[in-house]
Amino acid sequence: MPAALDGTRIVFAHEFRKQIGGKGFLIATLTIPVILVVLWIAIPVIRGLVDGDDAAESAATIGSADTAATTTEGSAADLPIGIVVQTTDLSVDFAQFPEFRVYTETAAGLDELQSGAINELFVILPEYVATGHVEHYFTDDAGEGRQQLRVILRDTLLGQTQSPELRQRALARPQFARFTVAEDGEIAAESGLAVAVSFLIGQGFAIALIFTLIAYGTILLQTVSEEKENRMVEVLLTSASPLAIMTGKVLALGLAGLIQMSVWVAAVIVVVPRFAGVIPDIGTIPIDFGFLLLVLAFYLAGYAIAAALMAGIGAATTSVTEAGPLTALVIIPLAVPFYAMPLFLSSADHWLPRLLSLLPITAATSMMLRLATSSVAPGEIALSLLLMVVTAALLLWLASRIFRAGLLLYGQRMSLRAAWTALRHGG
Amino acid sequence: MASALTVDGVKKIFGRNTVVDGVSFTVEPQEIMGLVGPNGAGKTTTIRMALDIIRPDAGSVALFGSTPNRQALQRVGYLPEERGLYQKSALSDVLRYLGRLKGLSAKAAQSRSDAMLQRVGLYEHRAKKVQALSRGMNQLAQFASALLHQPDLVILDEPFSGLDPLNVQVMKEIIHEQQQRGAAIIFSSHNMEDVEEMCERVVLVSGGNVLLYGALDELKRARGIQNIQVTAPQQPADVPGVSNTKVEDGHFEYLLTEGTDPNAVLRSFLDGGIPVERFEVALPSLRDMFIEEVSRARGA
Repeated sequence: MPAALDGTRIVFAHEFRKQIGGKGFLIATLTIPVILVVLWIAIPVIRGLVDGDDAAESAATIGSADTAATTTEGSAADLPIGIVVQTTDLSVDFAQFPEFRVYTETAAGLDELQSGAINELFVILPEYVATGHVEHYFTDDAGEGRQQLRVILRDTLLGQTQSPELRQRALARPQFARFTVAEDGEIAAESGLAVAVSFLIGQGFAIALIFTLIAYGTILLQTVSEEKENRMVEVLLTSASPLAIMTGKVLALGLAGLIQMSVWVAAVIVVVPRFAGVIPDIGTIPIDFGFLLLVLAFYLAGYAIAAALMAGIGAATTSVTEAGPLTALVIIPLAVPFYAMPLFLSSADHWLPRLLSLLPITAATSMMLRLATSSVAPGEIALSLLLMVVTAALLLWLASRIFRAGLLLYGQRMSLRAAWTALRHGG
Repeated sequence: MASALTVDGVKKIFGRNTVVDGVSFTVEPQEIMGLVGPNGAGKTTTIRMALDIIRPDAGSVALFGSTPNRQALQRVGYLPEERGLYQKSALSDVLRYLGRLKGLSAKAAQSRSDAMLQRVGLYEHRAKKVQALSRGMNQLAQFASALLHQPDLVILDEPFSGLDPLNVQVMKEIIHEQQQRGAAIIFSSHNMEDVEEMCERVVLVSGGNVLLYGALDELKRARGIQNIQVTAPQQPADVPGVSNTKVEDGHFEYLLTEGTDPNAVLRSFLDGGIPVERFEVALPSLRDMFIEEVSRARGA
């Protein structure tokens, strides 16, 4: 392995171990999962109450048509619910439930939905037992049919206890794929939810980026500044190149931050479905993985730029105390798109959002918000990413130069003139 | 075999200030070279140029026969004057990390770290955070870290400052062990007695220039006999060729003027009928040479 890469690897391993081995990291990383787990433990109590209601409802539903009719009485939609059962694995006769109208063909159901004869239409797909997939069609607003269908499917499947597969399916929930049916009959995946999810992801990553920078950028700045303060820098510079040292630090702290975020996201993914009573159909939320990858790319590029800037500040200042306030110079530009949020929401292709998404220091958060609210031209995305990557590399190189030059300025405040002189002489 | 370090006419200018002006010297394997000079003489800048931390404006540096590169620098152990360790890390972790950076495998870094800590008497403290160690312990730990990878060139800048005599003795023994192992050692200090004791050759730098360079014995002999010490009940009325006299309880110390024969001093005692208990011709000390050379350079 080339010496520079080896130096980067060793610095990376050291900084990473130091970071994740600290109590602070462990506490911060586990806080969200612990909170969620505590709620998870509390959920059975809540679920018990909810299931109690369900049980009463299902008993009434299955017990008699009259009682079932009573359960739907007073519901928002008085129109029947259309149902198409394509799977042959279920032995349930929806005809016995007066609130349901059974169709043999999806097209017939859709025609009725469009004509306003039914409020919504469910199609239980052939692979339902294996996947839980159910298509849910509606015109304007979906009704309350999902809850009723869930109860019927669960109780029916639990009645077919001879099949462990069916029992498992009963305990899991149906996965609803939601479609809107326009007046002209055009069917589309529910766009409002997709947009909302995209926006939440974009905004979530943008906030995460700022959070990561405040947390890990500050740590990075401290480790660099500390090496100057405790005079380690001179020994380090005879052992590894400044670029290798800086790269190792930036990568290590970036990975530590990413791991922390991943643990939080994983905890949310694992635990939040347990809150399905609170957030219905969590499993059916549409996620565009292409969009997610792009947002992740901007997140990483944004981190690289800001981390290199933080490292440069740490290298240029004489102490952690002096460096602290300067972090605002990095964080404020990243927050600029949030100040212009109304513009991003109403007109993401306005010249200002476009400009902000090309300026490397504001590009990460700007592009995340734009990607979440509108479609951005691939060329613009590529150019923005390219500019960010090039800028990050340049800033990292510059930070490493400042780190080397910094030892010529022990005990001196870094003025621009002093910095320039040190940079010229620092090898 | 190539010299461990060759510094050839290096020059460094910061702004309008010429910090190093054409310094040249070599350090050979298995020798201890003293690098001495007053504060601000350019010693540290010269060391930094030798280690490629800063680049010379003129002249050249060769480490083990080639320009300083990462590979050559891995063979160097450096204890800078401005030094410190990661205060919040465990001592053995810091040493292991520095050993890894010098190219040791994880296993070797661990075993060398343990061995060096045992050698400097800090093994029992290996799990402690550096900030919990005394200043002297910190210094010993840094000294140990510079030698972990068994470097071929060791550069020690003021290694004994702030240490008690016992720890100084431990360090001196280890430095000699390194020399016997074959390492070349640059020993920079303001304590001339230590340099005189440790080094075969010296380079004296002041104002960025080399004032003296060579084998210590030869430098002393080349300066001639300047100092005579006599133990006698009294001194003659007239001692020839003497520029300065120190008298203390029957001990007389004479600084001779240039060209004076020391025997003329002895003869003046004998001719005066004064019995001489002890007569010693002394070579000049490094301290004397340092003061004389630096004063002369500053006067010029």
